[in-house]
Amino acid sequence: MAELDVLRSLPFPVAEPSEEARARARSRLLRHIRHSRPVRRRRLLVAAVALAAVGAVGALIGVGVHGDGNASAATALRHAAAVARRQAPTPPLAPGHYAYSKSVQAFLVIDGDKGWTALGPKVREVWIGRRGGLLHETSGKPKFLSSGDYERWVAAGRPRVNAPEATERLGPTPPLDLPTNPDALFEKLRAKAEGNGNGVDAEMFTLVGDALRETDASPALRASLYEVAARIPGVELVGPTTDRVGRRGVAVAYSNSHNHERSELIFDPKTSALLEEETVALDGNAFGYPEGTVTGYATYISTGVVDRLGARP
Amino acid sequence: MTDAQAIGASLADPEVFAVLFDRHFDAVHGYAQRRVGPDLADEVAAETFTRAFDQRRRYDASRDDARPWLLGIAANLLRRHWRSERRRLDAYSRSARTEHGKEAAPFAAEAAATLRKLPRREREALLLLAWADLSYEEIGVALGVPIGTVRSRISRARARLRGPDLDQRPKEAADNG
Repeated sequence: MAELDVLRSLPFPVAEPSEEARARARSRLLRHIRHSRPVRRRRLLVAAVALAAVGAVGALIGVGVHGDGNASAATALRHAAAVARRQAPTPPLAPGHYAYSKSVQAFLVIDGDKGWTALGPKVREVWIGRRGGLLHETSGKPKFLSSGDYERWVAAGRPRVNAPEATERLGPTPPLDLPTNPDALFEKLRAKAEGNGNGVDAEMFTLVGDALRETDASPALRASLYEVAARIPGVELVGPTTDRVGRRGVAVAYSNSHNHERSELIFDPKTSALLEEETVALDGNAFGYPEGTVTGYATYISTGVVDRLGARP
Repeated sequence: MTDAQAIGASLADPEVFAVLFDRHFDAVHGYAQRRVGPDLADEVAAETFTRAFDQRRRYDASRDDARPWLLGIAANLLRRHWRSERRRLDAYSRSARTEHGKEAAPFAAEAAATLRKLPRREREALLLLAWADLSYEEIGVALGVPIGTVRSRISRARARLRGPDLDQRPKEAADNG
């Protein structure tokens, strides 16, 4: 029973709900009860929703099974891998040096209490170093993905979505502990992804993204990361595209049927650099957004190695 | 009046359903709170009851206590907050490691890191046991699976929690200088 005791001891709060939250939830239930439709009609509606959900799953499975998309994604990714493999090796990050990355990004900010969700755009700069680093972010105007979200945000008194500016010291970042041999890398990432609730393939795609963004991955490691992505079942070619700052790239994607979200990686086929990431809502997503709604993105504008915290390449 | 009777009565007089809310809101909220924190818990717990109301015709009237059924609905709703849950677990396992040091909370850090990696079905069953104090049978009701399935999910999850190396801790940075 020791495992259970450890779980029970995790210091996650178990305070009673506030009176206010309880009262709000209770009146929401009573409103819901009063407004609920006659049973017959509601049943039909439920059936229609259930059918729609089945349709969505069918469509996703259809996408996953098509071998074509996957084969062309593999070709594009292996091309990027070959480009990276030909690049001159970079020395490991020296003490006192920092891997710098600047991106423009926006991810969902969710206020479950007041019921609104918004994209909070930021300009983000990070300096990653073996002895410590720095993070600096400035936030822009929130973007609401539905008029309902906007209305609930206004009704909540237009609360701040992100702090206008944030500066944070980062702790030391150890070197990426990943092999450059593609077979070994594949096995290592698969072992890490094993048992993940989102599915092994989805998690592997995420881990590849994790190692490419805001890291000092060497060209050899980058080559292997693209090679690993080429081998993940379900990764599809989206095709040639331009990112948010107009650079040409190639997009590959993984459609996750657990959370109904597609994750895209856009890379530069000439340099193998990661240009942009994007997440897109699929049919059946938890927010009820129309399929294709962009729910997050990050465009990597500038990367390089600098010798001082706060310096830019 | 048992929960089953209240649900039965609510078919004719819907507002009777509020009895279920008064009896079980705190338990549902408490469970959601441990999983996703207080703010999201307000939302999840509130929605659990509107959903339950909509599904009340399907309630198994032979079960007097509706708490397992309600927690099952909450567990379903919590799936959409997996990102937040994962971030919480990550943040916790990081802070338990770095701030409290090795001697203070290594098992807790490990447990949080392992929870994050458990397959969803195992995690759901395990947390209903550990954090909602449901019996195996009640977990079966909550998740709509046979009790044998609950047993095997929980024993797998517990084996993973005990397992030595599911979570390979990052090595200390070799380069200190």
